[in-house]
Amino acid sequence: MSDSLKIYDKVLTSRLLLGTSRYPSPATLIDCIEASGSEIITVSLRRESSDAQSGQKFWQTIKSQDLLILPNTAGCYSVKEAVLTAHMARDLFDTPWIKLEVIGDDYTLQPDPYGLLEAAKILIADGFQVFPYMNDDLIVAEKLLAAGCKVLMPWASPIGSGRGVVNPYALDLMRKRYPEVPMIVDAGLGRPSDAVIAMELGFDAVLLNTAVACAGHPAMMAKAFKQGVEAGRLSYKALPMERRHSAVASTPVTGKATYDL
Amino acid sequence: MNITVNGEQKNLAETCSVTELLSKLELQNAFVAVAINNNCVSRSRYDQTSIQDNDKVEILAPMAGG
Repeated sequence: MSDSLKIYDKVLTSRLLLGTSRYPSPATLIDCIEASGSEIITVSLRRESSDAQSGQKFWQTIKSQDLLILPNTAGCYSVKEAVLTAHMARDLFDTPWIKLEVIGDDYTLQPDPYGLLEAAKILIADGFQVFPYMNDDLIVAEKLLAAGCKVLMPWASPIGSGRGVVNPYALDLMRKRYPEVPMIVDAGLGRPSDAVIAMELGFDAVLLNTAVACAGHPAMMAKAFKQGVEAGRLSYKALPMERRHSAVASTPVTGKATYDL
Repeated sequence: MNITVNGEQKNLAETCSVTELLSKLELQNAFVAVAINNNCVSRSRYDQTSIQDNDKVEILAPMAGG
């Protein structure tokens, strides 16, 4: 049975998006992409130097993989900076997609919702298809959707923290309020069980990076996350039973022998 | 004339196009995006866009990111 996911104009079979940073080696990155089954990878833009040409080496590593590129505006703290970076990404990758990050706090890397909304409006008016990296605030979600975002990417917890879904109530609320909107849980997942939780809440996909790249065995962890995402998705669709306050015997009482002991 | 490229001062003998600047920097075949004074320069306009004295040029390339 097909269970594809449509984000903007792209139909995907994988529900795991993978970041490309912090891997021990380029070969490990490729192994992880393959193990994860991801069809979308995120990349950033950084200064290129004549000597190192490190960007060219990175690009050579990933371009042969035939993947969809989701460029980000990571590290941008202002609307102008994020908008300029998005334009440069569009020129470079020839894609309208942008993972829009406008960071508001150094310590938590928490998104600045006001800057995010302003930048999203500017970019959408200019033809971009925005993937907003956002917190789990329902009002921010509402305003981003009204601005024209067709997908939302709320965090589970701070980037790279590996703390998992710290506020399932807020994510559940957002999911249920906008059931038709594709939603990707982005940032903070640490273990495949976190991905299961996100997917069981009904989220359409997850975006990972550090949890895979910094695992003891990255490719093995990529595979574990792939299976976690699939298990969570299947569980969500299978409609789990309601939780109860008390025990209910699974073995029937009827027919139980009565002993005179 | 003096310009800044990726935060570093550079001295050029004369005005040049973006294409020529990339060539001087040995980035003529590189997969990069360029901005001048906080404005993105489309690749299709590299030949027509000239670098002026005191311009601030950013040359960015794909890099690992989450």
